[in-house]
Amino acid sequence: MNEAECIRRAREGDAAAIRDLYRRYAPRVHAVVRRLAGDEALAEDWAQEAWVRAFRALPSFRGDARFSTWLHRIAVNSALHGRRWRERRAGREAALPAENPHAARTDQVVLRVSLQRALDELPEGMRQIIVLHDVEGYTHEEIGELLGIAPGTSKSQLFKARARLRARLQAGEGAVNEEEACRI
Amino acid sequence: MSHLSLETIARLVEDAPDRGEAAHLESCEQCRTALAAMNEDVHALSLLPDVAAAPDGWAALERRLVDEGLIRTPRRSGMGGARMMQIAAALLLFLAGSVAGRMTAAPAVQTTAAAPTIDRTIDPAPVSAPPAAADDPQPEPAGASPIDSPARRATLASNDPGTMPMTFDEAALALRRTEEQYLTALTRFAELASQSPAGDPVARLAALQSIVLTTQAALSETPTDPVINGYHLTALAQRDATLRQVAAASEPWY
Repeated sequence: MNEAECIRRAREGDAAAIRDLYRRYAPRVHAVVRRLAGDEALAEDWAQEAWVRAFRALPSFRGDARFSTWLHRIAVNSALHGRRWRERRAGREAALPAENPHAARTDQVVLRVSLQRALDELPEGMRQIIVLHDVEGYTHEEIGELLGIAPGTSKSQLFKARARLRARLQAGEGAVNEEEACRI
Repeated sequence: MSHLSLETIARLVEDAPDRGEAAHLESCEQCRTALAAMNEDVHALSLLPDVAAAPDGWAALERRLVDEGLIRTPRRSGMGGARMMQIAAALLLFLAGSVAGRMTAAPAVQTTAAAPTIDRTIDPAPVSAPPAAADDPQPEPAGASPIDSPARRATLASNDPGTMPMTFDEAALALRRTEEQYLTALTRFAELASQSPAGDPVARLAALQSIVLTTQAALSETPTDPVINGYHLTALAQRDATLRQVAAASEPWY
C-alpha cells in the first residue's frame, strides 16, 4: 500500500492503514519527542499524544506538505504542549540532574550517546531550541513562532545552549563509556 | 590574552567572525580547537539517528484510538477479525462441549462434589467406583438417560418460560450468577481432571493460552459481548488452573 492510499484509508479509520503509518513514522516521531522531552517515560506519553492528535487531524491533511513534515510538526507541537502542561502543573522547571562523570568520547557512537545525554541534562528551554534548530533543522523564525518568542531570542538561547552542551561534553558530564554505548 | 567565550564560539558556527574575533582565532590554537569541537557537536547533532519507539507503543496507542473511535475495526496482524471470531467460536465451542461432556459423563460422586445443588434424585454411582479418567467417557449412571442428566435438567429448568428473567437487568443478573456457578464448577472440574495422568498439561496450557489470546482479540472488537466475555473468563480460569498444576508438578530449578 503506498502512502497516499494508506492515508486515505487511515482517514476512514482503517486499522491496518493506521498501523502501517505508525510503523513507518514511529521512530521519527519518537525521536523528536524524546529529544524534546529529555526523558523516556515522558516521551512515550507525548509520542502517543502526538499520534492521537495526528489521527484526529488526519481528515484536515490536504497533502500540500509531505505527510512526514506535517506529522513532524504535530509531534513537535505535542511535545511543546506537553512541556507547557507539565510546567503549569509543577510550577517550576525541571531541576538539573546530578553530575555524571564518565570517560571522554572515543568515537562517533559514543559521541552520539554523549550528546543525547548532554541534551537530556540541558534546561528545558535550551534543550527545545537546540533540538529544534540543530537536530530538527527549524529556522529561528519557525522556532519563534512555535515557542512564541522573538527569533533573536531563539538565536541567543541557541548559542547559550550550545555553549552549555560543549561545557558538559568537555567536563565529561555527558559522556559515556564504550561499554554503555554498545548497549544502545 | 582572554579567550573567546563558548557562547561566542557557538555563534561562530554559523556567523562570520568580526575582525577582532578573526584575529584572535588566527593567533589562538585553543580557541580554534574549541570552534572545531563546536562545529563537530553541531554536525553530530544534525546526524542523530531516530530512536526506536517503545515495543508496546502500538498496543497502547491502538487502545486509545479505539476508545476515541478513530480506529473503526481493529485487526490483528496476519489475521482478519472475522476469521479470528470464527476460530474463537470453534475453539470455545469445542472446549465448552468437552467440559459439558465430561461433566455429564463423570460419575455422580464427582458431579455432586462439583455442583452440590444439582438434582439429587439420580442414583449415585457406587462409592467404590474408580475415579473417572479424564479422557475416558464414562457410562451413564443406572437409570439416567441423557435427557435425565443433571446438566440437561438444569438446562431445561433454565429454559422454562416461567423462570425466565423478564427485564434486561434481571437477565444480566441471572447471567452473572450462572457464570459464577459455571466458573466454580469448571474450576473444580479442572482440579479433578488434573489428577488424571492422561493429557499433557503443558500442551493444554499452550492451547488454553491460544484460546485466551483469541478471545482477547475477539473482545477488542466486541468488548461488551457477554458471551465472548464468558468464554474469555472461562478460558482464563482454565489457563490459570493449568498453570498452577504445571508449576506444582515442576522440578525446582535449583
